[in-house]
Amino acid sequence: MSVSLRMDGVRFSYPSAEGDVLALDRFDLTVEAGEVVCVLGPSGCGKSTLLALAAGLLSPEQGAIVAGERPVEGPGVERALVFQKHALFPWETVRGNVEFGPRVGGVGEAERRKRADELLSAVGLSELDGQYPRQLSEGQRQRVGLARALANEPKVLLMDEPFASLDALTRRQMQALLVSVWQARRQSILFVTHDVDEALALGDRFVVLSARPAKILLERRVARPRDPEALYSPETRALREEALRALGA
Amino acid sequence: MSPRSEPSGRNRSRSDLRDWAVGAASVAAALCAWELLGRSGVYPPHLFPPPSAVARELKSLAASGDLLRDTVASARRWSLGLALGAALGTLMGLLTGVLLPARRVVSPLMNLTRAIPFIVLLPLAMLWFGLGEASKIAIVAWGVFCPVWLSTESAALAVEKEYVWAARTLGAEGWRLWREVHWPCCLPGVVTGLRLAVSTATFALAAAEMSGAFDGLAYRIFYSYQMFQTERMMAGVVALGALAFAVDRLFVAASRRVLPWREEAA
Repeated sequence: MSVSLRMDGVRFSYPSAEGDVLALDRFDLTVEAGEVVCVLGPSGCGKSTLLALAAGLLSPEQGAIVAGERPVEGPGVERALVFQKHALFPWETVRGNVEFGPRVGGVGEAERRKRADELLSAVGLSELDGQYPRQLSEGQRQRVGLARALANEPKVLLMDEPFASLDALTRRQMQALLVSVWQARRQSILFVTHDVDEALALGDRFVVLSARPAKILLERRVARPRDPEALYSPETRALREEALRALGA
Repeated sequence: MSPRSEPSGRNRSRSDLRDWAVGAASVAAALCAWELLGRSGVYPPHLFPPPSAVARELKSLAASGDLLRDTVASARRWSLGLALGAALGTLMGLLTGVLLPARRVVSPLMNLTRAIPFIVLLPLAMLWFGLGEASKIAIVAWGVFCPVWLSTESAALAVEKEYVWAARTLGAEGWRLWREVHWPCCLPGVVTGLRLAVSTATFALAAAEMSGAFDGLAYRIFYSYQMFQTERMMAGVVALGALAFAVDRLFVAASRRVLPWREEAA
């Protein structure tokens, strides 16, 4: 079962050398339960801030963030964050990273192992469970990052350009992996990216943000099902053109 | 996809072996030069004994049991001082690295006191803790405390926000967050500080034993100097050096075990 994520009139600024920078102001965005929403926008427009707010790591100065029925007042295991630079714990093995959430959450050892086994096999890393992050390739690290986020069985996945640092082929594989994960569990996904094609391949809907303070410039639905051909259909091409125009490209 | 390729084991061990052989050859060459110079009579043998004479002296020290007694006495002071200083330094580093108010209160005071070379505190330590073991252990502990404290503190200050954020979204808060993220992030700093501290400890030990001890390797060196027994003095130097070298190697090996996740531990 998944839950929706709603941001209502959110305002957030952060301090910098030149005074406070307004990242978001009167910002509204909703991810329906089980929906995949992709957020596109120029660098530094506050996309990551958006995710940190949804994760409960930052608190809005104004407005409300609600997951399901409950207001977000801090981090919670039902909302998992996947980082652009994986942020794997270098002192834990692959398995240690994946089991981290269940372990601090008090899940018993047998159940923990079972969950990690399943996830590691789903991301194709069963053989590498005893390795340390530094011994992995960037794509493998990103897979571990995804598995670690999924180990708490979250209802909302917050993803911060998770595949941006990967080569094109690995990125395609990771996108397919994410789709199969989503098809199995139907998490609500808020997916930040700067890659229009990625947004078109993954999202039920995408929004394009302006520069700071971020406003929604464009919002479009993308039809499913999503076979590779659909990426080159006239409808998708029109959407791509529209998104690129909104991004100022 | 395969794990990032690393130099194959055989190549690495071959180049290790070569490095080791070069190192051993250079030590052997230095010993030969020393031996030749000692025997040449350029310097009087009682001022510049060759290594063969030093080795003979070392053997007789070992046979009489003095060597073992001195080594045990030194090792005891050294390890007790190191353990005490390392424990206090780690605690202090974590305290001032994690709690900003603690840093404000303690750091200026600590920075002032650590600017004082610890050797000049030796007379004070003897006044306060007496001529026995306590003053020697205290001075070693003080010498160890500072590098461990500073290095732990800087590691605690450098804990990456992303790790903390990742752990919090995964459900770790409060003490758990501290135990699961801050501590493993600080551990390399503790180890680096300890490695520095191992040599400061030897230094402090030598100073302490040279001013008012009745056994110990540095005491033996100093006593032999006063008795004008150059060979015995050099034997003591060699024994102390060998001990310090062995401890450092042991420490590197141990830190690889404690930090298996590091590229090159220590």
